[in-house]
Amino acid sequence: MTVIDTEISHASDADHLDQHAHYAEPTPIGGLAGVVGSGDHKVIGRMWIGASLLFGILILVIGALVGFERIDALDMNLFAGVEAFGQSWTLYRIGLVFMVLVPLILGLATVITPLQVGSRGIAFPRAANAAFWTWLISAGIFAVSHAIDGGFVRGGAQDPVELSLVSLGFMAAAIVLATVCVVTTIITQRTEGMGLDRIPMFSWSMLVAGSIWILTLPVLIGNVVIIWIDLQGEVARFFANGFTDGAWNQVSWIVDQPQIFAFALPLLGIAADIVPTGFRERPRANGAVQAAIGLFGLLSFGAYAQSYFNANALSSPVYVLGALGLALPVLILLGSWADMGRRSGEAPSMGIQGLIAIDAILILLLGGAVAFLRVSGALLGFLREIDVEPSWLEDLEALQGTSINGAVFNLVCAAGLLGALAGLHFWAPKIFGRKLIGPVGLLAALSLMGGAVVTAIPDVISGFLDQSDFFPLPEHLEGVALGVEDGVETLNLVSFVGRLGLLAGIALTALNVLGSSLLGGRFDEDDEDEDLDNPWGGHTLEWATSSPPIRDNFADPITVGSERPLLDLAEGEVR
Amino acid sequence: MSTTEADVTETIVADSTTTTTTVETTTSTTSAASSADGVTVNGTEPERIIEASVPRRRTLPIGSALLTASTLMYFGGLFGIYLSERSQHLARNAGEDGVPWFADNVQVELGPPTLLAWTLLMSIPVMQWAVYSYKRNDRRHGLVALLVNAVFAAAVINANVFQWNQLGFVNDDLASAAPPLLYAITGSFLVAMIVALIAFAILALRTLSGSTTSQHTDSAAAVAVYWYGLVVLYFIIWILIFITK
Repeated sequence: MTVIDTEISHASDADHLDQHAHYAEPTPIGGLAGVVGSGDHKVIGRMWIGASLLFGILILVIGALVGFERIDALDMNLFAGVEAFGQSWTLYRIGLVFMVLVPLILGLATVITPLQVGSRGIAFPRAANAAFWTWLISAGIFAVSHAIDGGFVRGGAQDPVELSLVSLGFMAAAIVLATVCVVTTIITQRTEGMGLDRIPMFSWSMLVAGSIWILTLPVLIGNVVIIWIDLQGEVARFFANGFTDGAWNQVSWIVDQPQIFAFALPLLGIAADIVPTGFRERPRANGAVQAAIGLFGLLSFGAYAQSYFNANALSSPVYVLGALGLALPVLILLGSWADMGRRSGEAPSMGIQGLIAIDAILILLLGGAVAFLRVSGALLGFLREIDVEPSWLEDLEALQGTSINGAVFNLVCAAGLLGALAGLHFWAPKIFGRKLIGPVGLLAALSLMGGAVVTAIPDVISGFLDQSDFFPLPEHLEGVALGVEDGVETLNLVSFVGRLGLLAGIALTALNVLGSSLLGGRFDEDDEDEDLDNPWGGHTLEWATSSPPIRDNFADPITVGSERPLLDLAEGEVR
Repeated sequence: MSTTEADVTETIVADSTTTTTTVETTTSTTSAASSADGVTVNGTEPERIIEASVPRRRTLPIGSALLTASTLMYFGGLFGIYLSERSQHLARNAGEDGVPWFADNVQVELGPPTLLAWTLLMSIPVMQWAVYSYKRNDRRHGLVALLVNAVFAAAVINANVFQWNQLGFVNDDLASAAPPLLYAITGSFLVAMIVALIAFAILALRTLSGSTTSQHTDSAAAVAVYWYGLVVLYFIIWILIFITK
């Protein structure tokens, strides 16, 4: 028996780490039970990634069908009626965020953030596992409820509509729970020496984005609960009038600007981790980049922008200037990279993931520009107050509610998906134990990027031609002409082709992940001597362990002295 | 007896009389729980032995704080909608012939909610007493404090249901949007109270089944954070719905 006296106040975390390096571990459970009930963050993260990519194919097929129908919406060639069209339309909007983008990013975060902060696992592993299964079941029910006349549009049957509401609420709650696990890990499980100013950028972006998700998704759940309670009466009058048009208007803020930017925010962190690795440089303005990501998160908080309850919300100065301000953090990030490039003096070696990350940033910037264009009509109101009335702004004033809304949505979601794709390529050795297939990844990225642009630009132009966002309005139900100008059909055809590009991008990514998981060894034959533990020369802590990581991630406790500990080692610095 | 690294179980013994912690390392081929049995260091009883766990910087209270913030935002959204709908309704019905926010036959009494608000206020020191007792490894007082707070929570739930019965309006009342909003807010608060009760029960059961009490200090603090959030929420409900009407 050994007895050691230790001062409480002076007991370091390293001491504790050292003690627990020897703590007895339970025997791992194998087989299906080991996967279904796993508390291993790497297994849970892979489940998030796989399920979200499969849902991605489903949702983008629906998006393509909706896009095809928009070419000649009045005839309704594909769908049984405008109700079915509207149900698919809302499924695409909600599904792309809650069944694809956010779960994909959460999957990445669940695997990577504990590694980045030097933790042995994720905080509350059972809750993380429960969150995944709750989300998976809810997402399945959400999709099915739309197929049986649910959703958020007029004409749905009451029980399926309630099913849609409840499943959306549970999906949001599951995402909140999973996010709490990730954020708690980042706050409480950091290794010795890693202050908040030293956490890697992806973890920092998840801390910011996760905080926004934790604070805004419950507001959506509140919206859903009110509509659901209203539906319980004999006559649902106030919040689910005829079950619906009102229902969609109450929940649509979650997939509209500025909130939609909060779901794509982690791509800033992913890019900020990948690009400096390519430059092999230490960013000088680490704090500025952190502040920029924080500012982006602040500006993307969208729970207040509920036009259903506050008609002036979308013309308020906060809303309009917020849309303009979103570009600033991205420009700071680009400035940081330009500075690194100038100091490096040589071409960066970023690999495919670097190119995809930069693509993602550019698409995000384009989304921000379109978002500002969309709300800039509100500037007219401010200018009128000072007796300035530029006539060219009048066209912009009518843009709210047109198909430009869909352009912002598709661009920002595509940017987020591209960011996640870059992350998948960068961290594939840690997630899957092998690299993804590069050329397939590049093709997927080109499809996503091209698809986003080809979908969005025609939607922006048709917005100026008064095409509505194509949510079925009462006049659609009554067969009244849409009142849009000629040429919209052609623009919608081009937009449909873009949606096919988005679908191809996600399908290729799913195939790449599946192919690399099953056949990856064959593709690595030429690179047998390659160091898979740190193939890109990564700077942050996740690259200090093996690929795939060992059971508890790190063999020994690690103390870090800067935000890029592996670069410290490479430079031989003792910080 | 062969000893491997995996067999090593460590226990930390808190010494309340000094400012030091004794870290004791024992070797055993049996379970961690049984290794603690019968261990006495410097006269310390087994109850006072804390088994080491994965190092965490107050993970439970931080996680609880995040979930509590989430709960507060959920109610914040409901309050925002309530205020918005109420002000719009009152603006539309400003004249003498206007429809009131709460129909005339609805009994929105201030008495029971006020009683509830003060009951919850009283529960704050009781909850803190529980945390204090857990910190001092005082199982008896910790459990008594939890029990008292559970009684408070049950009383709140009971009074809430009683009030629903007294209100006298139904969700089909078409005069204003007050019924679905009031049911959404008070019903959600009821669910939050039930969650708190379940948390009390889990904490109490884990305390009773464990060999020590102070190892659950973080759990008690986590439950307390959530409870304080609920108390704040009820005061807002009290002012927003029952005082303002």
